[in-house]
Amino acid sequence: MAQPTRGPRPIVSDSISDVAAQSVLDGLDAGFTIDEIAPDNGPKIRGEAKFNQEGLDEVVALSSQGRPIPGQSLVNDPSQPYMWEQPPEFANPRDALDYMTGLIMQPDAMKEIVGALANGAAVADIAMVMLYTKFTEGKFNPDVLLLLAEPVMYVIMAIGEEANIKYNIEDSNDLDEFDEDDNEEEIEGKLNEFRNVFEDIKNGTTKKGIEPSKIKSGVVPQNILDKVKEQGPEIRSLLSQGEE
Amino acid sequence: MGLFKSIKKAFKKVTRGIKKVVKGVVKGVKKVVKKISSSKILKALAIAAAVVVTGGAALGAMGATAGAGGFTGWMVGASNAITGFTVAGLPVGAVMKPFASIGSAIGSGVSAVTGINLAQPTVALPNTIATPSAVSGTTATTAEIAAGTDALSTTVATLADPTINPAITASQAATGQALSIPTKIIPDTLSQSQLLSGVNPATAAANATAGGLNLPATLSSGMTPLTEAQILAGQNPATVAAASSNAAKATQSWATRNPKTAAFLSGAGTVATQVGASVAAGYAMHQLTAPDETGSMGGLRTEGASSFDPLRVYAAERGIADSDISKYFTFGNTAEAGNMPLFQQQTIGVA
Repeated sequence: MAQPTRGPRPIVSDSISDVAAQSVLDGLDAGFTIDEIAPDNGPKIRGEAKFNQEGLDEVVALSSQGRPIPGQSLVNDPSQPYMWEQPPEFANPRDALDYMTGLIMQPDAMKEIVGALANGAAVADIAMVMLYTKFTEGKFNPDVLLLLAEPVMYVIMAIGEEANIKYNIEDSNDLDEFDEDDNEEEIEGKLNEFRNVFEDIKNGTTKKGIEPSKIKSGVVPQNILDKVKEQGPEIRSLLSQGEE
Repeated sequence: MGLFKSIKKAFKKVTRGIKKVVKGVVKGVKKVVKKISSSKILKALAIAAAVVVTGGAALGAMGATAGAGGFTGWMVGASNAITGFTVAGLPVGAVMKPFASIGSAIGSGVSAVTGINLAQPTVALPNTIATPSAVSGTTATTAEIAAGTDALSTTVATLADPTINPAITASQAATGQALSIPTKIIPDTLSQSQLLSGVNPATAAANATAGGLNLPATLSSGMTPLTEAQILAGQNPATVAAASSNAAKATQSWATRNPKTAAFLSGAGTVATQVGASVAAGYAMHQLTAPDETGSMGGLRTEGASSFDPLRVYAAERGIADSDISKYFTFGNTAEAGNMPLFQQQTIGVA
Protein backbone atom coordinates (compact mmCIF):
# COMPACT_ATOMS: atom_id res chain seq x y z
CA MET A 1 0.00 0.00 0.00
CA ALA A 2 1.32 3.38 -0.98
CA GLN A 3 2.17 5.78 1.78
CA PRO A 4 0.62 9.20 1.30
CA THR A 5 3.18 11.88 0.84
CA ARG A 6 1.12 14.39 2.80
CA GLY A 7 -2.12 14.96 4.62
CA PRO A 8 -5.28 16.01 2.88
CA ARG A 9 -5.68 19.57 1.83
CA PRO A 10 -8.40 21.63 3.51
CA ILE A 11 -11.58 21.59 1.46
CA VAL A 12 -14.56 23.79 2.12
CA SER A 13 -17.66 23.55 0.00
CA ASP A 14 -21.39 23.62 0.36
CA SER A 15 -21.78 20.52 -1.79
CA ILE A 16 -20.97 16.97 -0.74
CA SER A 17 -20.38 16.01 -4.36
CA ASP A 18 -17.81 18.71 -4.75
CA VAL A 19 -16.03 17.74 -1.54
CA ALA A 20 -15.99 14.08 -2.58
CA ALA A 21 -14.61 14.94 -6.00
CA GLN A 22 -11.92 17.14 -4.54
CA SER A 23 -11.07 14.52 -1.92
CA VAL A 24 -10.57 11.85 -4.56
CA LEU A 25 -8.36 14.09 -6.67
CA ASP A 26 -6.48 15.15 -3.55
CA GLY A 27 -5.98 11.52 -2.57
CA LEU A 28 -4.57 10.72 -6.01
CA ASP A 29 -2.30 13.71 -5.75
CA ALA A 30 -1.13 12.60 -2.31
CA GLY A 31 0.08 9.28 -3.67
CA PHE A 32 -2.88 6.93 -3.49
CA THR A 33 -3.78 4.88 -6.52
CA ILE A 34 -7.35 4.65 -7.69
CA ASP A 35 -7.35 0.97 -6.71
CA GLU A 36 -6.47 1.90 -3.16
CA ILE A 37 -9.22 4.49 -3.00
CA ALA A 38 -11.81 2.24 -4.59
CA PRO A 39 -10.66 -1.37 -4.14
CA ASP A 40 -11.86 -3.84 -6.71
CA ASN A 41 -14.05 -6.53 -5.16
CA GLY A 42 -14.65 -8.62 -8.24
CA PRO A 43 -17.64 -8.64 -10.54
CA LYS A 44 -20.63 -6.72 -9.30
CA ILE A 45 -24.18 -7.84 -8.76
CA ARG A 46 -26.39 -6.17 -11.34
CA GLY A 47 -29.24 -4.37 -9.68
CA GLU A 48 -31.45 -4.37 -12.70
CA ALA A 49 -35.09 -3.43 -12.34
CA LYS A 50 -37.37 -6.00 -13.91
CA PHE A 51 -40.93 -5.42 -14.93
CA ASN A 52 -43.37 -7.11 -12.63
CA GLN A 53 -47.06 -7.04 -13.47
CA GLU A 54 -48.03 -7.93 -9.93
CA GLY A 55 -46.04 -5.04 -8.54
CA LEU A 56 -47.50 -2.65 -11.06
CA ASP A 57 -51.03 -3.72 -10.18
CA GLU A 58 -50.28 -3.15 -6.53
CA VAL A 59 -48.99 0.34 -7.20
CA VAL A 60 -52.03 1.16 -9.32
CA ALA A 61 -54.34 -0.13 -6.61
CA LEU A 62 -52.58 1.90 -3.97
CA SER A 63 -52.60 5.07 -6.00
CA SER A 64 -56.29 4.79 -6.83
CA GLN A 65 -57.55 4.65 -3.28
CA GLY A 66 -57.43 6.75 -0.18
CA ARG A 67 -57.08 10.04 -1.97
CA PRO A 68 -58.21 12.99 0.08
CA ILE A 69 -61.18 15.00 -1.07
CA PRO A 70 -60.06 18.41 -2.39
CA GLY A 71 -60.15 20.84 0.49
CA GLN A 72 -60.28 18.08 3.06
CA SER A 73 -57.29 19.44 4.95
CA LEU A 74 -59.10 22.74 5.45
CA VAL A 75 -61.76 21.13 7.59
CA ASN A 76 -59.31 19.36 9.90
CA ASP A 77 -59.34 20.31 13.54
CA PRO A 78 -56.60 22.95 14.05
CA SER A 79 -56.03 21.72 17.58
CA GLN A 80 -54.93 18.33 16.23
CA PRO A 81 -52.51 19.08 13.43
CA TYR A 82 -50.59 16.48 11.48
CA MET A 83 -47.04 15.73 12.56
CA TRP A 84 -45.61 17.66 9.66
CA GLU A 85 -47.73 20.67 10.55
CA GLN A 86 -46.05 20.93 13.92
CA PRO A 87 -42.57 22.28 14.70
CA PRO A 88 -40.06 19.67 13.52
CA GLU A 89 -37.99 17.60 15.88
CA PHE A 90 -34.76 18.50 14.11
CA ALA A 91 -34.35 22.05 12.95
CA ASN A 92 -30.61 21.68 12.49
CA PRO A 93 -29.68 19.70 9.34
CA ARG A 94 -26.61 18.29 11.08
CA ASP A 95 -28.70 16.75 13.83
CA ALA A 96 -31.14 15.50 11.25
CA LEU A 97 -28.35 13.92 9.23
CA ASP A 98 -26.97 12.24 12.32
CA TYR A 99 -30.40 10.84 12.98
CA MET A 100 -30.85 9.63 9.41
CA THR A 101 -27.39 8.12 9.20
CA GLY A 102 -27.96 6.36 12.47
CA LEU A 103 -31.12 4.84 11.08
CA ILE A 104 -29.48 3.77 7.83
CA MET A 105 -26.56 2.18 9.63
CA GLN A 106 -28.77 -0.21 11.53
CA PRO A 107 -28.17 -3.79 10.33
CA ASP A 108 -31.86 -4.34 9.59
CA ALA A 109 -32.08 -1.17 7.54
CA MET A 110 -28.85 -1.98 5.74
CA LYS A 111 -30.09 -5.40 4.80
CA GLU A 112 -33.26 -3.92 3.34
CA ILE A 113 -31.33 -1.24 1.47
CA VAL A 114 -28.90 -3.75 0.00
CA GLY A 115 -31.81 -5.96 -1.03
CA ALA A 116 -33.62 -3.05 -2.65
CA LEU A 117 -30.52 -1.96 -4.55
CA ALA A 118 -29.91 -5.50 -5.73
CA ASN A 119 -33.51 -5.66 -6.98
CA GLY A 120 -33.09 -2.54 -9.06
CA ALA A 121 -34.43 0.19 -6.80
CA ALA A 122 -32.78 3.50 -7.52
CA VAL A 123 -30.71 5.27 -4.90
CA ALA A 124 -32.73 8.46 -5.35
CA ASP A 125 -36.00 6.62 -4.81
CA ILE A 126 -34.79 4.90 -1.64
CA ALA A 127 -33.44 8.16 -0.26
CA MET A 128 -36.62 10.02 -1.11
CA VAL A 129 -38.88 7.44 0.48
CA MET A 130 -36.81 7.43 3.66
CA LEU A 131 -36.63 11.19 3.91
CA TYR A 132 -40.25 11.79 2.97
CA THR A 133 -41.41 9.27 5.55
CA LYS A 134 -39.43 11.03 8.23
CA PHE A 135 -40.83 14.35 7.06
CA THR A 136 -44.37 13.05 7.49
CA GLU A 137 -43.39 11.85 10.95
CA GLY A 138 -42.49 15.44 11.81
CA LYS A 139 -38.76 14.86 12.14
CA PHE A 140 -37.76 17.76 9.88
CA ASN A 141 -39.26 20.26 7.51
CA PRO A 142 -39.11 20.10 3.69
CA ASP A 143 -36.14 22.48 3.54
CA VAL A 144 -34.05 20.23 5.75
CA LEU A 145 -35.28 17.26 3.74
CA LEU A 146 -33.83 18.73 0.58
CA LEU A 147 -30.57 19.55 2.34
CA LEU A 148 -30.30 15.92 3.42
CA ALA A 149 -31.04 14.50 -0.02
CA GLU A 150 -27.49 14.54 -1.34
CA PRO A 151 -25.65 13.20 1.73
CA VAL A 152 -28.21 10.46 2.31
CA MET A 153 -27.95 9.40 -1.32
CA TYR A 154 -24.19 9.18 -1.00
CA VAL A 155 -24.46 7.06 2.14
CA ILE A 156 -26.79 4.69 0.31
CA MET A 157 -24.42 4.62 -2.65
CA ALA A 158 -21.55 3.78 -0.31
CA ILE A 159 -23.57 0.88 1.08
CA GLY A 160 -24.24 -0.30 -2.47
CA GLU A 161 -20.58 -0.07 -3.35
CA GLU A 162 -19.57 -1.92 -0.21
CA ALA A 163 -22.09 -4.63 -1.06
CA ASN A 164 -20.57 -4.78 -4.54
CA ILE A 165 -23.80 -3.97 -6.32
CA LYS A 166 -24.12 -2.17 -9.61
CA TYR A 167 -27.05 0.02 -8.74
CA ASN A 168 -29.36 2.51 -10.40
CA ILE A 169 -28.89 6.08 -9.30
CA GLU A 170 -31.98 7.76 -10.67
CA ASP A 171 -34.40 5.39 -12.36
CA SER A 172 -35.13 3.49 -15.56
CA ASN A 173 -32.11 1.23 -15.32
CA ASP A 174 -29.37 3.80 -15.60
CA LEU A 175 -26.85 1.46 -14.01
CA ASP A 176 -24.98 1.08 -17.31
CA GLU A 177 -25.06 4.77 -18.13
CA PHE A 178 -21.48 5.42 -17.15
CA ASP A 179 -20.29 2.27 -18.89
CA GLU A 180 -22.01 3.37 -22.08
CA ASP A 181 -20.17 6.65 -21.89
CA ASP A 182 -16.96 4.73 -21.37
CA ASN A 183 -17.69 2.50 -24.38
CA GLU A 184 -18.41 5.47 -26.63
CA GLU A 185 -15.23 7.08 -25.50
CA GLU A 186 -13.31 3.87 -26.06
CA ILE A 187 -14.68 3.45 -29.58
CA GLU A 188 -13.87 7.04 -30.38
CA GLY A 189 -10.35 6.53 -29.04
CA LYS A 190 -9.79 3.42 -31.14
CA LEU A 191 -11.07 5.16 -34.23
CA ASN A 192 -8.62 7.98 -33.63
CA GLU A 193 -5.87 5.46 -33.10
CA PHE A 194 -6.74 3.73 -36.35
CA ARG A 195 -6.75 7.02 -38.21
CA ASN A 196 -3.36 7.89 -36.79
CA VAL A 197 -1.90 4.51 -37.72
CA PHE A 198 -3.28 4.82 -41.22
CA GLU A 199 -1.74 8.25 -41.56
CA ASP A 200 1.58 6.98 -40.22
CA ILE A 201 1.63 4.12 -42.69
CA LYS A 202 0.77 6.40 -45.50
CA ASN A 203 3.36 8.99 -44.55
CA GLY A 204 5.95 6.40 -43.65
CA THR A 205 5.63 4.70 -47.02
CA THR A 206 6.20 7.82 -49.01
CA LYS A 207 8.97 9.07 -46.74
CA LYS A 208 10.98 5.91 -46.81
CA GLY A 209 10.63 5.74 -50.56
CA ILE A 210 9.62 2.14 -50.70
CA GLU A 211 9.51 1.06 -54.30
CA PRO A 212 7.78 -2.13 -55.34
CA SER A 213 10.84 -3.02 -57.39
CA LYS A 214 13.00 -2.99 -54.26
CA ILE A 215 10.86 -5.42 -52.39
CA LYS A 216 12.46 -8.80 -52.12
CA SER A 217 10.76 -11.51 -54.00
CA GLY A 218 8.77 -13.92 -51.88
CA VAL A 219 8.07 -11.45 -49.07
CA VAL A 220 4.90 -10.11 -50.65
CA PRO A 221 2.70 -12.27 -52.84
CA GLN A 222 3.16 -11.60 -56.52
CA ASN A 223 -0.48 -10.66 -57.18
CA ILE A 224 -0.35 -7.90 -54.53
CA LEU A 225 2.92 -6.61 -55.99
CA ASP A 226 1.30 -6.45 -59.39
CA LYS A 227 -1.57 -4.46 -57.95
CA VAL A 228 0.80 -2.04 -56.28
CA LYS A 229 2.76 -1.61 -59.50
CA GLU A 230 -0.44 -0.99 -61.32
CA GLN A 231 -1.65 1.51 -58.69
CA GLY A 232 1.57 3.43 -58.67
CA PRO A 233 3.72 4.68 -55.80
CA GLU A 234 1.01 6.72 -54.17
CA ILE A 235 -2.01 5.22 -52.52
CA ARG A 236 -4.90 7.26 -53.68
CA SER A 237 -8.21 7.69 -52.07
CA LEU A 238 -11.22 6.26 -53.80
CA LEU A 239 -12.76 9.71 -53.76
CA SER A 240 -9.74 11.53 -55.10
CA GLN A 241 -9.91 13.16 -58.50
CA GLY A 242 -8.73 10.78 -61.14
CA GLU A 243 -6.27 11.55 -63.91
CA GLU A 244 -7.77 13.32 -66.87
CA MET B 1 -47.66 21.32 -7.94
CA GLY B 2 -47.90 19.24 -4.81
CA LEU B 3 -45.18 18.98 -2.23
CA PHE B 4 -44.23 15.43 -3.16
CA LYS B 5 -43.81 16.33 -6.81
CA SER B 6 -41.70 19.34 -5.84
CA ILE B 7 -39.48 17.13 -3.72
CA LYS B 8 -39.17 14.60 -6.53
CA LYS B 9 -38.20 17.35 -8.91
CA ALA B 10 -35.57 18.58 -6.48
CA PHE B 11 -34.25 15.05 -6.13
CA LYS B 12 -33.86 14.84 -9.87
CA LYS B 13 -31.72 17.94 -9.76
CA VAL B 14 -29.55 16.44 -7.03
CA THR B 15 -29.20 13.19 -8.99
CA ARG B 16 -28.26 15.00 -12.16
CA GLY B 17 -25.71 16.94 -10.10
CA ILE B 18 -24.16 13.70 -8.85
CA LYS B 19 -23.96 12.29 -12.37
CA LYS B 20 -22.43 15.50 -13.59
CA VAL B 21 -19.83 15.40 -10.84
CA VAL B 22 -18.95 11.80 -11.68
CA LYS B 23 -18.42 12.71 -15.32
CA GLY B 24 -16.39 15.73 -14.32
CA VAL B 25 -14.18 13.73 -11.99
CA VAL B 26 -13.70 11.06 -14.66
CA LYS B 27 -12.21 13.69 -16.90
CA GLY B 28 -10.03 14.98 -14.08
CA VAL B 29 -8.83 11.54 -13.06
CA LYS B 30 -8.11 10.50 -16.62
CA LYS B 31 -5.48 13.18 -16.74
CA VAL B 32 -3.70 11.31 -13.94
CA VAL B 33 -4.75 7.72 -14.59
CA LYS B 34 -5.24 6.78 -18.21
CA LYS B 35 -7.33 3.63 -18.12
CA ILE B 36 -10.08 4.13 -15.63
CA SER B 37 -13.75 3.28 -15.74
CA SER B 38 -16.48 5.65 -14.66
CA SER B 39 -17.96 3.11 -12.26
CA LYS B 40 -14.63 3.03 -10.46
CA ILE B 41 -14.74 6.78 -10.07
CA LEU B 42 -18.32 6.52 -8.83
CA LYS B 43 -17.18 4.08 -6.19
CA ALA B 44 -14.34 6.34 -5.13
CA LEU B 45 -16.72 9.28 -4.90
CA ALA B 46 -19.25 7.32 -2.88
CA ILE B 47 -16.57 6.21 -0.44
CA ALA B 48 -15.13 9.69 -0.10
CA ALA B 49 -18.58 11.24 0.34
CA ALA B 50 -19.58 8.66 2.95
CA VAL B 51 -16.42 9.44 4.90
CA VAL B 52 -17.15 13.15 4.69
CA VAL B 53 -20.79 12.77 5.69
CA THR B 54 -20.38 10.39 8.58
CA GLY B 55 -16.81 10.98 9.57
CA GLY B 56 -15.91 7.44 8.57
CA ALA B 57 -18.72 5.89 10.57
CA ALA B 58 -20.43 4.53 7.48
CA LEU B 59 -17.37 2.64 6.35
CA GLY B 60 -16.55 1.72 9.92
CA ALA B 61 -19.96 0.12 10.12
CA MET B 62 -19.14 -1.92 7.07
CA GLY B 63 -15.81 -3.20 8.23
CA ALA B 64 -13.34 -0.55 7.16
CA THR B 65 -11.60 1.25 9.97
CA ALA B 66 -9.56 4.36 10.16
CA GLY B 67 -6.85 2.46 11.92
CA ALA B 68 -6.49 0.14 8.97
CA GLY B 69 -4.97 2.96 7.03
CA GLY B 70 -5.56 3.50 3.35
CA PHE B 71 -7.56 6.28 1.82
CA THR B 72 -10.36 6.09 4.40
CA GLY B 73 -7.98 6.24 7.31
CA TRP B 74 -6.12 9.05 5.65
CA MET B 75 -9.31 11.08 5.33
CA VAL B 76 -10.78 10.18 8.72
CA GLY B 77 -7.58 10.73 10.64
CA ALA B 78 -7.04 14.06 9.05
CA SER B 79 -10.63 15.15 9.41
CA ASN B 80 -10.58 14.27 13.10
CA ALA B 81 -7.50 16.36 13.50
CA ILE B 82 -9.01 19.24 11.62
CA THR B 83 -12.35 19.18 13.40
CA GLY B 84 -10.60 19.44 16.70
CA PHE B 85 -8.75 22.53 15.65
CA THR B 86 -9.81 25.75 17.28
CA VAL B 87 -8.77 29.36 17.07
CA ALA B 88 -9.58 31.46 20.11
CA GLY B 89 -12.09 28.90 21.23
CA LEU B 90 -13.94 28.81 17.94
CA PRO B 91 -14.12 25.40 16.23
CA VAL B 92 -12.52 26.39 12.97
CA GLY B 93 -12.09 22.80 11.95
CA ALA B 94 -15.79 22.15 12.12
CA VAL B 95 -16.24 23.69 8.72
CA MET B 96 -14.08 20.99 7.26
CA LYS B 97 -16.52 18.25 8.14
CA PRO B 98 -19.87 19.91 8.53
CA PHE B 99 -21.96 16.84 9.06
CA ALA B 100 -19.58 14.63 10.94
CA SER B 101 -20.49 14.24 14.55
CA ILE B 102 -21.18 10.55 14.69
CA GLY B 103 -18.73 8.31 16.44
CA SER B 104 -16.61 6.22 14.17
CA ALA B 105 -17.73 3.08 15.97
CA ILE B 106 -21.31 3.45 14.88
CA GLY B 107 -21.52 -0.17 14.03
CA SER B 108 -19.67 -3.25 13.05
CA GLY B 109 -20.22 -6.62 11.61
CA VAL B 110 -22.00 -5.39 8.51
CA SER B 111 -20.05 -6.22 5.43
CA ALA B 112 -21.02 -7.23 1.96
CA VAL B 113 -24.36 -8.71 1.00
CA THR B 114 -23.55 -12.01 2.56
CA GLY B 115 -21.71 -10.53 5.48
CA ILE B 116 -24.57 -8.83 7.26
CA ASN B 117 -24.47 -10.03 10.81
CA LEU B 118 -27.89 -9.64 12.33
CA ALA B 119 -27.06 -11.87 15.25
CA GLN B 120 -24.85 -9.20 16.71
CA PRO B 121 -26.67 -5.91 16.42
CA THR B 122 -23.92 -3.95 18.02
CA VAL B 123 -24.70 -0.77 16.22
CA ALA B 124 -24.92 2.16 18.54
CA LEU B 125 -27.14 5.01 17.58
CA PRO B 126 -25.58 8.43 17.43
CA ASN B 127 -26.07 10.57 20.46
CA THR B 128 -26.31 7.53 22.69
CA ILE B 129 -24.26 7.63 25.83
CA ALA B 130 -21.11 5.59 25.79
CA THR B 131 -20.66 2.82 28.29
CA PRO B 132 -20.09 4.15 31.77
CA SER B 133 -16.73 2.50 32.06
CA ALA B 134 -15.51 4.30 28.99
CA VAL B 135 -16.73 7.61 30.30
CA SER B 136 -15.46 7.43 33.80
CA GLY B 137 -12.23 5.66 33.13
CA THR B 138 -13.00 3.04 35.76
CA THR B 139 -14.07 -0.47 35.15
CA ALA B 140 -17.70 -1.23 35.84
CA THR B 141 -18.18 -4.61 37.40
CA THR B 142 -20.58 -7.20 36.03
CA ALA B 143 -22.83 -6.69 39.02
CA GLU B 144 -22.88 -2.96 38.44
CA ILE B 145 -23.70 -3.42 34.78
CA ALA B 146 -26.46 -5.87 35.66
CA ALA B 147 -27.82 -3.47 38.24
CA GLY B 148 -27.65 -0.64 35.76
CA THR B 149 -25.26 1.30 37.94
CA ASP B 150 -23.68 4.17 36.13
CA ALA B 151 -20.01 4.18 36.97
CA LEU B 152 -19.81 7.82 36.08
CA SER B 153 -22.50 8.70 38.60
CA THR B 154 -20.79 6.56 41.19
CA THR B 155 -17.52 8.33 40.63
CA VAL B 156 -19.15 11.73 40.77
CA ALA B 157 -20.93 10.78 43.97
CA THR B 158 -17.66 9.61 45.47
CA LEU B 159 -15.90 12.80 44.54
CA ALA B 160 -18.76 14.87 45.89
CA ASP B 161 -18.44 13.28 49.32
CA PRO B 162 -16.01 15.51 51.25
CA THR B 163 -15.26 12.83 53.80
CA ILE B 164 -13.72 10.51 51.25
CA ASN B 165 -10.19 11.16 50.11
CA PRO B 166 -10.19 10.15 46.43
CA ALA B 167 -6.46 9.61 46.38
CA ILE B 168 -6.68 7.17 49.24
CA THR B 169 -9.65 5.41 47.72
CA ALA B 170 -7.88 5.04 44.40
CA SER B 171 -4.71 3.89 46.08
CA GLN B 172 -6.55 1.35 48.17
CA ALA B 173 -8.48 0.11 45.22
CA ALA B 174 -5.39 -0.22 43.09
CA THR B 175 -2.82 -1.65 45.45
CA GLY B 176 -4.50 -2.34 48.71
CA GLN B 177 -3.06 0.27 51.08
CA ALA B 178 -0.07 0.77 48.89
CA LEU B 179 0.49 4.28 50.06
CA SER B 180 0.76 5.07 53.71
CA ILE B 181 -1.27 8.23 53.52
CA PRO B 182 -2.90 9.03 56.85
CA THR B 183 -6.63 9.20 56.59
CA LYS B 184 -6.74 12.14 58.95
CA ILE B 185 -3.78 14.42 59.02
CA ILE B 186 -5.09 16.90 61.56
CA PRO B 187 -6.30 15.64 64.88
CA ASP B 188 -9.99 15.88 65.31
CA THR B 189 -10.08 18.03 68.39
CA LEU B 190 -7.75 19.70 70.76
CA SER B 191 -8.42 19.80 74.44
CA GLN B 192 -9.58 23.02 75.99
CA SER B 193 -6.26 23.55 77.72
CA GLN B 194 -4.41 23.01 74.48
CA LEU B 195 -6.57 25.49 72.70
CA LEU B 196 -6.12 28.05 75.41
CA SER B 197 -2.37 27.61 75.42
CA GLY B 198 -2.23 28.00 71.63
CA VAL B 199 -0.87 24.56 70.91
CA ASN B 200 -0.21 23.79 67.25
CA PRO B 201 -2.51 20.87 66.38
CA ALA B 202 0.15 19.34 64.13
CA THR B 203 2.71 19.49 66.90
CA ALA B 204 0.23 17.98 69.28
CA ALA B 205 -0.41 15.15 66.90
CA ALA B 206 3.31 14.61 66.45
CA ASN B 207 3.82 14.50 70.17
CA ALA B 208 0.90 12.14 70.63
CA THR B 209 2.56 9.47 68.52
CA ALA B 210 6.01 8.27 69.33
CA GLY B 211 7.30 8.55 65.80
CA GLY B 212 5.45 11.69 65.03
CA LEU B 213 3.04 11.82 62.14
CA ASN B 214 3.13 8.81 59.92
CA LEU B 215 3.90 10.85 56.89
CA PRO B 216 5.98 9.03 54.31
CA ALA B 217 9.18 10.62 53.13
CA THR B 218 8.10 10.23 49.57
CA LEU B 219 4.54 9.37 48.60
CA SER B 220 5.38 8.20 45.13
CA SER B 221 7.63 9.27 42.35
CA GLY B 222 7.25 12.95 41.83
CA MET B 223 5.31 13.54 45.04
CA THR B 224 6.92 15.37 47.92
CA PRO B 225 5.79 15.58 51.54
CA LEU B 226 3.68 18.56 52.49
CA THR B 227 5.09 21.48 54.31
CA GLU B 228 3.83 22.35 57.73
CA ALA B 229 1.84 25.22 56.33
CA GLN B 230 0.18 22.90 53.85
CA ILE B 231 -0.61 20.42 56.58
CA LEU B 232 -2.07 23.14 58.74
CA ALA B 233 -4.12 24.29 55.82
CA GLY B 234 -5.49 20.76 55.60
CA GLN B 235 -4.30 20.16 52.07
CA ASN B 236 -4.39 16.71 50.55
CA PRO B 237 -0.92 15.55 49.45
CA ALA B 238 -2.35 13.79 46.41
CA THR B 239 -4.19 16.94 45.39
CA VAL B 240 -1.07 19.01 45.77
CA ALA B 241 0.91 16.53 43.70
CA ALA B 242 -1.78 16.45 41.01
CA ALA B 243 -1.90 20.23 40.92
CA SER B 244 1.85 20.46 40.46
CA SER B 245 1.64 17.81 37.74
CA ASN B 246 -1.10 19.73 35.98
CA ALA B 247 0.91 22.89 36.29
CA ALA B 248 3.85 21.13 34.70
CA LYS B 249 1.63 19.90 31.87
CA ALA B 250 0.20 23.34 31.37
CA THR B 251 3.66 24.73 30.85
CA GLN B 252 4.20 22.27 28.01
CA SER B 253 3.43 23.55 24.57
CA TRP B 254 0.30 22.38 22.83
CA ALA B 255 2.40 20.81 20.11
CA THR B 256 4.33 18.75 22.68
CA ARG B 257 1.12 17.39 24.13
CA ASN B 258 -0.45 16.72 20.72
CA PRO B 259 2.43 15.84 18.41
CA LYS B 260 0.33 13.97 15.83
CA THR B 261 -2.23 16.69 15.42
CA ALA B 262 0.41 19.37 15.42
CA ALA B 263 2.25 17.63 12.60
CA PHE B 264 -0.79 17.68 10.37
CA LEU B 265 -1.91 21.10 11.34
CA SER B 266 1.43 22.57 10.46
CA GLY B 267 -0.12 23.08 7.05
CA ALA B 268 -3.84 23.51 7.63
CA GLY B 269 -3.34 25.19 10.96
CA THR B 270 -1.28 27.96 9.45
CA VAL B 271 -4.12 28.84 7.15
CA ALA B 272 -6.66 28.82 9.95
CA THR B 273 -4.39 30.81 12.24
CA GLN B 274 -3.99 33.38 9.54
CA VAL B 275 -7.71 33.54 9.13
CA GLY B 276 -8.12 33.91 12.87
CA ALA B 277 -5.48 36.61 12.96
CA SER B 278 -7.18 38.44 10.13
CA VAL B 279 -10.49 38.28 11.96
CA ALA B 280 -8.86 39.60 15.11
CA ALA B 281 -7.17 42.39 13.17
CA GLY B 282 -10.45 43.29 11.55
CA TYR B 283 -12.16 43.44 14.91
CA ALA B 284 -9.42 45.65 16.33
CA MET B 285 -9.67 48.02 13.38
CA HIS B 286 -13.39 48.16 13.81
CA GLN B 287 -12.97 49.17 17.41
CA LEU B 288 -10.35 51.81 16.60
CA THR B 289 -12.09 53.52 13.74
CA ALA B 290 -15.08 55.79 14.11
CA PRO B 291 -18.45 54.15 13.89
CA ASP B 292 -20.17 54.11 10.55
CA GLU B 293 -22.61 56.86 9.93
CA THR B 294 -26.14 55.72 10.03
CA GLY B 295 -28.95 57.26 8.09
CA SER B 296 -31.49 59.39 9.89
CA MET B 297 -35.12 59.38 9.14
CA GLY B 298 -36.45 62.48 7.46
CA GLY B 299 -39.48 64.36 8.70
CA LEU B 300 -42.96 63.35 7.78
CA ARG B 301 -43.67 64.44 4.27
CA THR B 302 -47.05 65.97 4.02
CA GLU B 303 -48.96 67.16 1.05
CA GLY B 304 -48.91 70.87 0.35
CA ALA B 305 -51.91 73.06 0.86
CA SER B 306 -52.36 73.35 -2.86
CA SER B 307 -53.17 69.65 -3.03
CA PHE B 308 -56.32 70.33 -1.16
CA ASP B 309 -57.55 73.13 -3.48
CA PRO B 310 -59.82 70.94 -5.58
CA LEU B 311 -61.30 69.56 -2.40
CA ARG B 312 -61.89 73.04 -1.00
CA VAL B 313 -63.73 73.95 -4.16
CA TYR B 314 -65.74 70.79 -3.90
CA ALA B 315 -66.54 71.51 -0.23
CA ALA B 316 -67.41 75.15 -0.88
CA GLU B 317 -69.84 74.17 -3.63
CA ARG B 318 -71.68 71.91 -1.19
CA GLY B 319 -71.39 74.02 1.93
CA ILE B 320 -69.21 71.53 3.75
CA ALA B 321 -66.57 72.59 6.26
CA ASP B 322 -63.01 71.84 5.09
CA SER B 323 -62.16 69.98 8.25
CA ASP B 324 -65.15 67.68 7.86
CA ILE B 325 -64.54 66.84 4.25
CA SER B 326 -63.25 63.38 5.06
CA LYS B 327 -66.69 62.44 6.26
CA TYR B 328 -68.12 63.10 2.85
CA PHE B 329 -65.80 60.83 0.86
CA THR B 330 -68.57 58.59 -0.06
CA PHE B 331 -68.10 56.64 -3.21
CA GLY B 332 -71.39 56.31 -4.98
CA ASN B 333 -73.13 58.27 -2.34
CA THR B 334 -74.61 60.94 -4.52
CA ALA B 335 -76.75 63.97 -3.71
CA GLU B 336 -79.75 61.94 -4.69
CA ALA B 337 -78.91 59.56 -1.90
CA GLY B 338 -78.89 62.45 0.62
CA ASN B 339 -75.12 62.95 0.69
CA MET B 340 -75.14 60.60 3.56
CA PRO B 341 -71.71 59.41 4.72
CA LEU B 342 -71.17 55.69 4.39
CA PHE B 343 -70.65 55.08 8.08
CA GLN B 344 -74.06 56.46 8.82
CA GLN B 345 -75.83 54.33 6.28
CA GLN B 346 -78.16 51.76 7.58
CA THR B 347 -76.72 48.31 7.30
CA ILE B 348 -78.54 45.04 7.01
CA GLY B 349 -79.90 44.25 10.36
CA VAL B 350 -78.92 41.00 11.96
CA ALA B 351 -81.53 39.33 14.04
